[in-house]
Amino acid sequence: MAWVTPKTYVASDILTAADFNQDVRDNMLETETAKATKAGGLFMQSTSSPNRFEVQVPAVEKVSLPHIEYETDEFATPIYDDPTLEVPAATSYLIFFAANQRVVSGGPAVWFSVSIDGEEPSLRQRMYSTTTGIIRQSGWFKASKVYTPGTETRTIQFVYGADANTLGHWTQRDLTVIPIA
Amino acid sequence: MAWTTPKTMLPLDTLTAADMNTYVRDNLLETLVGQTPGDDRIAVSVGPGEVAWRSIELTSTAVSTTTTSTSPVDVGPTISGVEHSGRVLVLITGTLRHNSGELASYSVAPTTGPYGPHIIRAIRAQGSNNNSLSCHVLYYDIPSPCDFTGYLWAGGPGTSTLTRGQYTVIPL
Repeated sequence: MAWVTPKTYVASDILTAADFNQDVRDNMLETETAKATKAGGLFMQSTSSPNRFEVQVPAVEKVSLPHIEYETDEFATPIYDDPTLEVPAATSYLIFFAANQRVVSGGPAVWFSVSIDGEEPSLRQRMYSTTTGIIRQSGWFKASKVYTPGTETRTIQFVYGADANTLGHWTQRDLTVIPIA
Repeated sequence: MAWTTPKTMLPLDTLTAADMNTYVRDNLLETLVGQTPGDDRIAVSVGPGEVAWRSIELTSTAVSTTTTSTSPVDVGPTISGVEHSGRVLVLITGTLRHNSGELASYSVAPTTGPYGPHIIRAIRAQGSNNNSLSCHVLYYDIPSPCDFTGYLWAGGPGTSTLTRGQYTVIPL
C-alpha cells in the first residue's frame, strides 16, 4: 500500500473500519519502523514514491583481503580483481577504498582504484604511488553514474594498474560501499 | 514497547482503548518521529520493526602530540558510548612527522573488541617534514556501545609528532 494523507475529521464524523484501515493501518505500515527488517540498514528516500522511505539493506558492504602481487607483463591493461562486492542496486554509491601499496620494481608508478560493473575508473579516482616504501592510501568517491534501482545487483571491484615493466604490490585492501537511493 | 503490526478492522468491529494504545500510541512511539533525536543524527534500522537515531561524532587531538614509543600509545582523544548496529566507519586525518626520518603513525580504534590499536590501518609518514594524510577504517564485530581512541607511535628511535589530528565516527 502507499502512503495516503490522513483525512481530517470533524465533529460528528464516525470512524469507520475503512478509515482505520487506510489512515492508520496502511499508513503505519509505510513508516520506517514497519519497513525495518534487520539491523544495519540506512533509510533512504525513494524517488519513485516521495512520501515514503525505503531501507537499503545492507547499508554497508565490506571486505578485507591481505595481499596481492602482479607480474610485470600483466599490466598491458588494468587488472580487475578482488576485493569484489556484489551490492544491491541503488541509484548511486558512496565508495571507500584503501590499500597498502608500493612499487616492487620498475616504475615510476603503480595505482589502484575501484570499478563498477567493469567500468574503468577515471584518473581522479585512482590512487597513485611512485615509492618503493609501503604507504597506505585511501580514497572515496560518489559514483557519478545514475543507476536505476531494481532487484539486480552490481559488481564493485578493485582495479590495479602500473607503468610498463613495473611490478606492484598491494596488501590490506579494504572496500566499503554505502548504497545511496 | 515493541512494534505491533496494526490489526485490520472489519465493519461493526469496535475500536477499543486497548486497540488505540497498542496499534496507534505504542506504534507511533516506535517511529523515528516518536523518538526525539539530537542534532546531526542519521536514521538506521536496528532490527525487525525497530529503528533508531545514530550520532555522527567528531573530535580533535591537542594542537601537537608527541611520543618516542615504538609501540602504540593512547594519545586520545576518546569518543565514548558510540551506539551502532554492528559497524562503525571511522574517517581519520592528521599531519605527521618523525624527527629522525623514521615512520610516524597514527591510528584510531575501538578500545574493546578484536582490533586493539590496529597498527596496520593507520595514517603514516616517513621523514621530518610535515605530511597531511587521511584514511578510513570500517570496524565491525565490535560491541555496542563502544569507545574509540587514537594511538600514536614511532617506527624507530626519535620522536613522532602529530598535529591537527582529527577523526569522525559514523555508526552504521
